Amino acid sequence: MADPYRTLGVSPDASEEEITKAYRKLAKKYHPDINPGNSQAEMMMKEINAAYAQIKNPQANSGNTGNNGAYHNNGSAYGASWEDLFGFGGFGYNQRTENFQTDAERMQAARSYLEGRQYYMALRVLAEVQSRDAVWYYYSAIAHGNAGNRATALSYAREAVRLQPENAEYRHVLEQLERNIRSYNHSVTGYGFNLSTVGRTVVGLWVAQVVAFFCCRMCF
Amino acid sequence: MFGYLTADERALSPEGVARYRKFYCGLCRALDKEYGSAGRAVLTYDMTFTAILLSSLYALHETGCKKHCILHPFSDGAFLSSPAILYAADMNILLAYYQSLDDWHDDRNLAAFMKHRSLRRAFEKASLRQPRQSAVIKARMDQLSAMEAANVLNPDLPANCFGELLAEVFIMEEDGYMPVLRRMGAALGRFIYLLDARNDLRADIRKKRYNPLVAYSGTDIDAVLTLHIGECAAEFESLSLTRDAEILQNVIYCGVWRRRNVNHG
Repeated sequence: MADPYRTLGVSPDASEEEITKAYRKLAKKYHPDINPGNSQAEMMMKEINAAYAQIKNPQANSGNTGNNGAYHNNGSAYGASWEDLFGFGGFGYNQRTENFQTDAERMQAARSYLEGRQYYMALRVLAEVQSRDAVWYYYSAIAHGNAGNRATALSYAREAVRLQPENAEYRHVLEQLERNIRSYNHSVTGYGFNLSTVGRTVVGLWVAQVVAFFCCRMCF
Repeated sequence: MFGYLTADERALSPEGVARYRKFYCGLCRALDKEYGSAGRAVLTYDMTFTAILLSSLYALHETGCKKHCILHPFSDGAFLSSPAILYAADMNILLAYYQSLDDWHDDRNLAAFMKHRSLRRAFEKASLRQPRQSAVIKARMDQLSAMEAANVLNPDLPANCFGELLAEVFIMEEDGYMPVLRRMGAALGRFIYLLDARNDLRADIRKKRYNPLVAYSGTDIDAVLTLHIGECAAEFESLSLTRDAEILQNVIYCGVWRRRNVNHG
């Protein structure tokens, strides 16, 4: 990738504050919400986010070219993944863990940590995995879910199911995460509330679209 | 942060509306009595909800009263008093004080500064009365400030932090209800935080202010919001409250969605 500091327009020894300011200045210019329908702006935003991620988490990003197909359009933020951009469980979790040589070793370690309920350790190892497949999303969903990062967990669980729709374990995790969405929507109907008056349709469930077991998309 | 825990009166029965207003007026009276006009000025529906919830949960004794109200001269002036309403008044002050601090940092104008100054004495009084909550609110607000300064763009992190803040507000007594109230309050806090972020997104981008959703393009926000409010609802249902259930359900299943910019983001 091009020099991230150059992309953001800051010098390599810029302070955190300067980097943040630069980022927000660029976001004001290129953010898709400000430029609806402008695909150029969207591309720029992807690059900006990737550059920002690179600066914020250099170790986690080493070797990730962003050309990995699993990176884009999978619930990751405009071209970079969660761990890259923002760290997790409190900024400061981007120190390298013990030196693993291969992704296989890292994934093995992640699994052990999950089984031992050490979710933050699992997240640290998972952040260093270079190639992200369905299993990576599955482990990450579990780790984030148990660490309380619900939006992230939901995104990753949906991605795992998208990549391997036939995998029952992945579907199970997703259904677990979504169970409160389901029961809430049923209660809304049960109590007779009409949410269209507040501009909201009942949330359609992503699982239903993939596996078409049942249709949960209700419109008032 | 305020204005999300409201009822949709169109969907309440006449009795429900009357009860809701009696609580609201009761909170106003309590704020006025304990904290004067500065207190009255920060009256919220959000803390009215809190008062109703806790009053119901603990089956607290309520005293009904009627007094003429200058601001609402044609109403019957009926209002309630209860320990939960007094508690909600204390919480209202604490939260409004930190909100005013936030506004002062964002707006940097005289009006915001004056508002913040006007709450100083009330805040000190409320802090003495509710030291545990005051300490937690301060700690969490400081954490949120740190996240803003660090430009944390993972929305889960600040949402969880604000959730913990609101959870403490819900815990009037450190008793057996604490775990449920903590989970319910935390889920509600996460919901409010994210909906507020979503509502403010476009304006924040334009003004180059912090917003945790700037880089977010993950699972649609509505699903995430529903997940949080769904957790809150699940905890609420586990309490099996009967008194004022109509109002509480109205807020949780309908009212919370009212404050959203339909032309969002």
